[in-house]
Amino acid sequence: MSDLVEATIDGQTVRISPGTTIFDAARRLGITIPTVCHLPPQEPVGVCRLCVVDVGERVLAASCARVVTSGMKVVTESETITTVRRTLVELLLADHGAPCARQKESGDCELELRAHELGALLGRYRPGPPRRPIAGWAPHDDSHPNIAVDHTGCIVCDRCVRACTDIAHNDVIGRAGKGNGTVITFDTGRLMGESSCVSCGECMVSCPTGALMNKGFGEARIPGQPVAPEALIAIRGPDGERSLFDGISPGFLAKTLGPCRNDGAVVERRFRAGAIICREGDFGSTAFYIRTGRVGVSITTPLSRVRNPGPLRRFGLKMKSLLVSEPEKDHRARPGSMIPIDAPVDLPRAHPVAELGPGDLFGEMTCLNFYPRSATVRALEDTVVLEMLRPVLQILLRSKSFRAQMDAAYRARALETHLRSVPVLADLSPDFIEHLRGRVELMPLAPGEVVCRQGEPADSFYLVRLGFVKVSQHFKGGNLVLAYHGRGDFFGETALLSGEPRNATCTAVDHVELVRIGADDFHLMLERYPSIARQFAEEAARRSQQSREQQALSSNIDVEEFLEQGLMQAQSLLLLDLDRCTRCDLCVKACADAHDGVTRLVREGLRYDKYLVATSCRQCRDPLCMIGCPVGSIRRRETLEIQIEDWCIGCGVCAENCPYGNINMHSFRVLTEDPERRGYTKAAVREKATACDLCKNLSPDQEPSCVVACPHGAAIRVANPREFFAHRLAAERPADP
Amino acid sequence: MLIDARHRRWMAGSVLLGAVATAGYVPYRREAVDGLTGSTGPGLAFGVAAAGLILFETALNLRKRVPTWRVGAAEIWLRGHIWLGLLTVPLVLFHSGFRFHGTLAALLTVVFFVVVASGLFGLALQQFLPRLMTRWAPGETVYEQIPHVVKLLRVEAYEIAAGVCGPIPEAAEESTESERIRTNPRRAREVLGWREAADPAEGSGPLRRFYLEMVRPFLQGNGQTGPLADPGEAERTVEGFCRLLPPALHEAARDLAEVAAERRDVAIQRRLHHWLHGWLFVHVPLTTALLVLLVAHALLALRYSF
Repeated sequence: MSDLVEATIDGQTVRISPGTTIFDAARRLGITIPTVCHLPPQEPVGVCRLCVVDVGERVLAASCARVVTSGMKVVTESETITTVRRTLVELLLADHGAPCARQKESGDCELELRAHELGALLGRYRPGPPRRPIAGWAPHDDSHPNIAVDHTGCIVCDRCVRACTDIAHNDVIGRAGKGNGTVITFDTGRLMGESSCVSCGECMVSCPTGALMNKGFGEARIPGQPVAPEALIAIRGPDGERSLFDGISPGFLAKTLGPCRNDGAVVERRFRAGAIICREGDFGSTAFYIRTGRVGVSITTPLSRVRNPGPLRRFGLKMKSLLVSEPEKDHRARPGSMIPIDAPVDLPRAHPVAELGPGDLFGEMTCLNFYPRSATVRALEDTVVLEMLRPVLQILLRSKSFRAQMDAAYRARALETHLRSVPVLADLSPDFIEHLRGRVELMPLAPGEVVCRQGEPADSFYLVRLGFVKVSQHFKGGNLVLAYHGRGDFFGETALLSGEPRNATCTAVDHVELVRIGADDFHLMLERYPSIARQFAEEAARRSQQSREQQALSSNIDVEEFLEQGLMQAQSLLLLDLDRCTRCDLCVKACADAHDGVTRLVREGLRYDKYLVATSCRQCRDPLCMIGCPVGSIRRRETLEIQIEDWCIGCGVCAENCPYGNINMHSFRVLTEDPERRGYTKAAVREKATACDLCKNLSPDQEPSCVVACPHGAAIRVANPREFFAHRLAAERPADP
Repeated sequence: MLIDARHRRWMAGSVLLGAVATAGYVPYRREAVDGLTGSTGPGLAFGVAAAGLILFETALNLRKRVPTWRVGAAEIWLRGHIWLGLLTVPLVLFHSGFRFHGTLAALLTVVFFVVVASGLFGLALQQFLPRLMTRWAPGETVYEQIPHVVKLLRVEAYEIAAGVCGPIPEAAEESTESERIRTNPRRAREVLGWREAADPAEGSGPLRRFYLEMVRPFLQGNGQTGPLADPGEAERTVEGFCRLLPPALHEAARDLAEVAAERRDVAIQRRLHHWLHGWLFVHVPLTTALLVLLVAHALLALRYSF
């Protein structure tokens, strides 16, 4: 065959196809060239240089990458080559941390085996300076349920990166840093357990050292009948025609869900009519895909406030309720609006019940972001569901075919209710929604992904379908978080209305899905619906004003304690002047009186100067409490105070997220359906979250009750802590050099 | 300080009103043959004014009972209570003409002055005790929570000691409580959650003794007696025990001392709290008695004087 190339390797002639590397040609002759970074069938990159051979040129060549040319004479073993290889291994060992976990466990770390073969000296070269390539990076990462990451064992050979990118096509692993500080990263800087890793294990089996090690897979299983990969391929997707796992290679699926990887990560579960599939407020880590049957989705926690009145007050409240109507709590709380939940439907506030059927996926946010279940799901008829862990859901969400099917289902069934659940858009006509149906784009975003940047030209308007988006503004002196937008919220209208560049950066806090409406459609909507245009203009003006006010309050402060106590974050502090306070607790009683007998204020907390920072909501600039509410019942009013709506399901995420312990969970008794005896009820204890609302419902323009009730003038509400503590801060700030 | 520049207007107003009352009283006092009495026109006027002010004084209590009512900030009411309360003293004296005839009038006057004196005493205490409490009891807690906090401190001390010395059967009560809290997911964060060491650490004998002989009795008691009740003596005691312990166990000994310090703080808080609010047990009941006597005095005076 005339098109073959002839060369000589270690004196042996070989005829091979053009383009064959020396490494592969030598293998054909039975000659083994040592290597670490090369692992067929991965594309060679030649980073370890251990496979160097002499091709008769001035320098040695990496055999994994150098292609054989006609008449080439290759020498794979010589004293020079061995010396060079030994030196290279010694250099690699300097940053390896031998013996690594793999060498200790199974004695087959490829680098250390090569070192042994070549007689390399451990410790001949000193390790480089500690690697700190990116903020938050740590040498050991134990966050993943299945894979232990030990960066000290990593030699940045790139095998895991190529395995993840070229073999598994997951694109999770990459590199960060440069020079000696280069490391592997997951989703550009996240811990492996927090990344979008699907636990396929390809990186782990590719790793030549103990940098990526198997932790054991027992924890990944969920109870139920595991579904074999072949059976999964046969399951129909949401459109009823294509396979659920359409577009995903059966081989990849078999390997990923096979033994010792993720077996048991997807199970089939059967529920009889009436059985509960999941309960609101419960924590979980799985999502459900309905194969057959129908399920009812509902919120069973009473939609009311927590009350704790005494007998006399109870009587008084009863009389009051008969004589005086409750004031409207907020003009934005419109009847008919929806409660957002972790399912393709929202629940009407008046009657929070909905139905899901075959092809519907629910529990995505619980599975991806570990949020509590947002609603109780009960089988309405005999139902079969697939319950899956995050790796399986990630595989599904990566599938273009599945996404297309879900998008189509969303457009057909949920887009209208989603649009109507946004108060500003409630008046859209059916024909315009029909117009939007084919034009909106669904955008999935990974945690940390930027939707739009401050200063960029605006081309879209966004509605949040899943997850939370952080809106932050950069200004002279730092970044300021303006808001967190959850399901049902919208953003991006300000720049579209003004025609100016974006005035804030919007970033996905967790796994987010947005509905993107292009600028043309947005402007068409404003043209056709002047009332919507007016409401958007009002909202944009309000948001701009809010950001201006917040910026005016912020500047750099270098007083450690002030920052440590989070006072810089506060927009409203309840301070008790301890030199005046006689500890009479009238402030606490007043708070309880103002809130149906349940106080939101605890006269305890951190101290700064002579002041006690009472445990009462601070209206933080970065309201972390708003992240993760599965039903969106915590929100900020226009006057910035936090409001927890009556449909809170008591999961406690906001209380956990509040760094200052200022959200309290209050227990109360309710009569609920007895799961063991259908048709019967039984007493149960439920919880709801409460936070200080500055008594805005009671008297919007006046001081809160705690301040009014303090007879000693010790309770003070401070809107600008930095200004209030200016003297103290000035005294503590170090003098300019 | 409770009385500060914010009280200036109220102070000036009461002094002015007092001066006006005095200016009204002095000419009558000079002209009256038998001196001014409560049944004369000016005397009655002083009496009515004093009674009105006393009723206003008692209204502070009602104001406190409806803290959410927007009828003026409670701070304003308290200022009025203090300064108008002081104004009643000359008015009562002018009303009686500095004479207290009859048992009822005398009793009423005595009760009135005791109420005023107890109020002034309370006011004086409120000037400095809050500051002392802030300084002396940095670990203060909500007063009603003190028994609960003390209970948790006992558990915490046990967990520190048992974490080093292993199970301590003498402290069975604390051990049971620790287990009970630790195993309750809703309460697990209330304590350290440290488990008992399987075997006592080497040289931990003195630490065990320190816990059983010093810390535990101190925590069980009122926090005011024993060597740990005084900060200086407590430090010397801990240092003494530390000399008997291997260096690795010094931290545990200091942790126990910290727990004792917290107990000391709440004991001081409790003591100061009693002083800060104890006077109300005199002031409030006697005010009620004063009101009853005042009504009786008014009725009898109206019955027999006109």
